[in-house]
Amino acid sequence: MPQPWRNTPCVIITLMLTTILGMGQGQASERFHYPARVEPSSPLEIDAALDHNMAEPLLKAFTEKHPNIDLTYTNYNTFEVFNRAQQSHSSKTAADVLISSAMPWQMQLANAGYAQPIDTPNARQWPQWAQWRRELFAFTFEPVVMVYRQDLSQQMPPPRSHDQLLTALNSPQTQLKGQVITYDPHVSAFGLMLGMHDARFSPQFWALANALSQARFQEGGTTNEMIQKIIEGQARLGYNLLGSYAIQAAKQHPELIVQVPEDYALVVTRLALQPRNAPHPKAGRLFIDFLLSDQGQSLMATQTPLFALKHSIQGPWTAQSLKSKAGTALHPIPIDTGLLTILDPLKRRTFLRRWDQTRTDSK
Amino acid sequence: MRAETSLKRRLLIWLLLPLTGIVTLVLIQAYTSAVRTADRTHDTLLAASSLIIAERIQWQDGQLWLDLPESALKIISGPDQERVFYQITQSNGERLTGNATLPLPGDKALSEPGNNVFFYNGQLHGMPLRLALRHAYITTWDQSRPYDIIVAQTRHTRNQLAHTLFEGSLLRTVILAVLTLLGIRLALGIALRPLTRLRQAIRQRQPNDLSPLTLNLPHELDELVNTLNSLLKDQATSLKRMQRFIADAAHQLRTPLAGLQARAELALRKTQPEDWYAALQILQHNAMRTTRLSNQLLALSRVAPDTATPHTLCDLTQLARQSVMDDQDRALEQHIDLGFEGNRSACWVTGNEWQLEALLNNLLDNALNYCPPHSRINVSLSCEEDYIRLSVEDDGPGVPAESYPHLFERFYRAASADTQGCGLGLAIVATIAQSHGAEYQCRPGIDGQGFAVDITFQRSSPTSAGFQD
Repeated sequence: MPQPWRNTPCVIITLMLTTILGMGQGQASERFHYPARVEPSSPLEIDAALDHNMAEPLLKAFTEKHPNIDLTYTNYNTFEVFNRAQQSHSSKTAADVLISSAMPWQMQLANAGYAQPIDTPNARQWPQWAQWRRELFAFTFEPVVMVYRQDLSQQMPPPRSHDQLLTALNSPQTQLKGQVITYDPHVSAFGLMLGMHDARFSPQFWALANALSQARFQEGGTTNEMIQKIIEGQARLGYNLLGSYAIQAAKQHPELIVQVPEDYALVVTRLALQPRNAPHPKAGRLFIDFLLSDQGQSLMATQTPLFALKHSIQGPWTAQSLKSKAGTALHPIPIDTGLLTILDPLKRRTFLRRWDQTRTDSK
Repeated sequence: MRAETSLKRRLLIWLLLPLTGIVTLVLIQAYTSAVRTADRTHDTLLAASSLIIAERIQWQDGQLWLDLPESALKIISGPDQERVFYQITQSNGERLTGNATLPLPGDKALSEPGNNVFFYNGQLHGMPLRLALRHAYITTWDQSRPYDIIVAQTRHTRNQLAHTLFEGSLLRTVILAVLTLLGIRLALGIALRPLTRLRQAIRQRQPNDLSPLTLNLPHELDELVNTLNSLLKDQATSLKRMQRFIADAAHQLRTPLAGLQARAELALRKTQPEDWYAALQILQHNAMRTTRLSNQLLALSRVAPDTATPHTLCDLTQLARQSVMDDQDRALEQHIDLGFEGNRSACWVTGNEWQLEALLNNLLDNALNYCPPHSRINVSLSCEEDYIRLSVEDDGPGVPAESYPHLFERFYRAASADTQGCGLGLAIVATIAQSHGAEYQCRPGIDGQGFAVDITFQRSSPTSAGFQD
């Protein structure tokens, strides 16, 4: 394997025109190469929908632990990850590991028999609720949050729950008109998933949707895009944003406040799987096992706000610490075949029609 | 050890074979029933899932609406996390929604009347599936639209359930089979105990104990015991006959030997050579008689009915002629007219040549012994279609008719007889005739005078005789 780059990580950014069906991540696919430091090397291809700055601590630790692995990490949007996986049967460009927060699509791949079971010590001990047939592993615990600018709290008490948000939106003296931003379910399947789960959780969601419409909310395609708008001041409150990215952004932008809703908070998990036709299954298994290991989980708890899912891990960002704060309000989206319904075209059409009706009604 | 020797093993094998067959059948039945039960249990879930979907389908504004509920897929995925697939099509085959393109049931499954859910097996990307197809209708005020819902799951859970159910039956069947085997072993031991008792009773017998067995045995063994007892009885009779024969023979030999001894002692007291000469003559005569007696005894023991001797084809004409010729000198000496009557052609009988010679000699000897001078002795041979009759007749003093039944017994002598014979001649004749399957009888002789013996042989088949000619 040619190794023209000696320093790590070498970054080749391939900007590609992609559809805007992205689910929370950047619009371009970026390729990162971590060359092996010893020979003989073993290649490892990871296709992920996870920002590189979030994944970097994990990738560095992994390649340090396994210096013979020649790792290529490509960050796509979730749609591309799924699309490439589905096309890999014919195009023979399969990756060794797929990581995505688009839970329904990862489930769709696993359910169709696209993934192969992983049988490593860490995989065997992984909690039952966070895996499916040992083919699909949830390794993060990312709450869905509200984000607002700190200056909002000077004008009104910032909403700490769905209920308070609804009250604030419905209040005649609301400061939020045109200031709220959330996912456009037509554009983002991730947003659609969150909306469907919100609707399933409480019929009051439709009252909230109605109130949002009344308040002339803005729509965004990805969490990063919406956070950018809040930083720039085009919006003051983001609803249903991905907590991990919000916390990462808040590290550099102290004006951002991340609020985990107190009445109920959906929790999404990032799912990893190994395709059946993975060209380097051994290296892929090693990486998935690393994500589930104490070392990998500790990095998620301390270096990057992905929130470690494993119980025993200590750190600021763990499922355990989140639970101790939010208690029973946390509702992880179950990893089961129920996810498949979100992809049903008729169900989506039904949801979107209702969503659109709310908007037209409010006009 | 030969395989035949163990009755227990034979019984065990022949009981085991049907037992194995029955166990195999039971297990096959248990397996199919386990699969059927597992299928029925899980088919219910598939039916429920398709019903949940059917209830959520609506027709509105010229469009189909479906809020696919999670539960519809979750109940067929179950705790074992089966893969699940669904598909909704219009009856014309136009696809409405679904997460896979699923196989359709065969025509046979669809033809079941009165049923709107069909269960069948199929495959998707090499994964074996169980599928349920439900016919349903979207009914609106103006029309009714038919459509099909197919839900499917992988077979892991139901295979496991079938496996668990089958394992239970397997265990029960194996336990039952083992218990049956133990029972059979025990029953065999008990049932075969009478045979052991019989064996022990026979083994513990003294060699000279020939009394019948008196054991209380199951009636299936009666025949065996009866056969054994009759064999023992035959042995006892034969032994008794043998003992009597030896006693008789010893007794018969003692008389002439005692005579010899007395004559010799008497002669030793004499001094004249003439007396010695006379005594020696008598001694010689007596010694001859004794020799003849011992020869006859020997002959009798040799033709005992149980000694098997090879039979060949013998020409009876030739044998009779030869015997008459051999005795001609003695007949002339006694002034007896000894003649042979019969045609010259060969008369074949199957038999033992020396025995037939002995038979003829004894008959002639008997006649010559008892007939006074100037008597006639006639040997005749008549070869008929299906039998050959040999007759030896004389016109001597004859035998009283009441003695006829006893004449062929050993050592029997008719009341009128002198002391010349020893009573074995006709007994030998009878034994030889018996061993040749011939009939024998006695009657008055020539012209109703004297004595005659008829021996009637079965004719040998002409074909078997043919190659001898």
